[in-house]
Amino acid sequence: MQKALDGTLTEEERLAWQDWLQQHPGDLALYEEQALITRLLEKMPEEEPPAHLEGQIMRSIRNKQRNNHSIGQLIFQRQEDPMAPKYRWLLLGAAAVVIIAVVISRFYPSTPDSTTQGTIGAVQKADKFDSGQMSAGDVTLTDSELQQLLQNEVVQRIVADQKLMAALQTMDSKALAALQTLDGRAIEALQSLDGRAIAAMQTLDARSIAALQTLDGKAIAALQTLDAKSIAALQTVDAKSIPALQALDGKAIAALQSMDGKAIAALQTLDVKAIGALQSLDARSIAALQTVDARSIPALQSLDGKAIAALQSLDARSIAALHSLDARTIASMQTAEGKATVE
Amino acid sequence: MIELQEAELVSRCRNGDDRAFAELVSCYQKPVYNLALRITRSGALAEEVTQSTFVKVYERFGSFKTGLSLFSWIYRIAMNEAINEYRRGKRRSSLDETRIMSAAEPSFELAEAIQEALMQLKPDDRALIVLRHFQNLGYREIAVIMDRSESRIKSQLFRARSSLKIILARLGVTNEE
Repeated sequence: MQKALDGTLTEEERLAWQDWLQQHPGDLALYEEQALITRLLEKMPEEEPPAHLEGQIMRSIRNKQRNNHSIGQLIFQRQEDPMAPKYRWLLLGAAAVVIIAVVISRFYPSTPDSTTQGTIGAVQKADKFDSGQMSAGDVTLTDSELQQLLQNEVVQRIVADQKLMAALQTMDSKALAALQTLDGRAIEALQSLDGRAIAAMQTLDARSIAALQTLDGKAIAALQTLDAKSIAALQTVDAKSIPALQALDGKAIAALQSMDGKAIAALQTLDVKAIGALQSLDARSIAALQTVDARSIPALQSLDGKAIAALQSLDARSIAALHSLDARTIASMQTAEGKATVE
Repeated sequence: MIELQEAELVSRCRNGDDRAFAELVSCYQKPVYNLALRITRSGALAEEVTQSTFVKVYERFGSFKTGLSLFSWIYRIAMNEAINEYRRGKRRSSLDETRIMSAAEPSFELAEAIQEALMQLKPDDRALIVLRHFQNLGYREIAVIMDRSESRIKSQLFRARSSLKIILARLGVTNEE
């Protein structure tokens, strides 16, 4: 029966099989049932895989080829899921930088190097970048890889941004060396990259990147609401401040966005308890605090441990009393001596 | 792909030739995708399965024995990946955004019913049906892929088709019209 269903019977076998079926109606019914299913299944059409699938597979393969010292892997080894929100944000920026570098290497005047081939990660030693200016051979791709990259919507947007492109041409050797260690996985992350994330990432320096690696998902979500001014201010934050920052809620973030670099420096001396107290400040208090002038800052900086401890012991009532201070009172207090402020 | 070409391709892949691996992907991605699509009934899952299959092929090239068929070896990985993916229960019961059949095709309703019936088979039986009737593989090849004897494959296939017939009848499909 199997051979009959497969259509592989010889003529002699076929005749014998027909005779058999005539004499065995039970087998005939079974055969017809199997034949029907076989014919039905043969009608099912084959589907074409999506056009992007082959490229997607090859990118996955290239990711496997990366060595163990990439920035991406330093990030990934901190958490089981490498594309968790905690690190994804960083990867988006890293991907943007890689792509931009590739585009520059191909399209700017110093590019006519026909020997370029290989993969993004498989580049030469860092000392090759002594010139401090990117050249065609620095980051290279095969033609098919380049074509795929250029079709990417985000890449097209980046290329169209002349200001950004001009800025990137000034990348120094250190930045280029760092690029060599980027993980190819970042390319995949590009799909979800938006313009705001690119712009924000451009302002981050290596110190900020290191600090950001310690942030959790909540902090990342909060950071995503920051504007360029806040990002610049945050670049002055050191590792000690990170745990305190992680405790900030949306309200505090909004308040922080109005602060300048100097205020951020002052905030770096605050501990978690103080941060908690700050979070209880309402808009009026924030507004009052914003009236503190340059003269008051040195006074505040002169507070000793005892005074700080006293401030930290303020109860809700006292906090409420402080909230009732108006701008005029604040102004008058600012005219007092620093020590009077403490008292 | 003839054996000589296949052996050469395997050798180049083992030597880390990216282009050779790209050739291999290009050659096998369609059957692997279709195998996964029929087993998972989801375009998104089929993509995932196809991708993970080739990543595993890449990772395991060292364990591939040259005497075996590359085709069968890849199919075995793909089939296991697809069945595992299906068993993980991702979007098991409904069609996703990726169509299984084009509505423009005349036999759309029938094909849809067949796919529905296939999904009611045990994953193992479904894989067998797919390998035999969608991928048109021989019994010997299927036996290698599923690591069973040819005779067992034939009898299992027979039973799987009978089950499919019963399910189709339940779905109201009694003939080819």
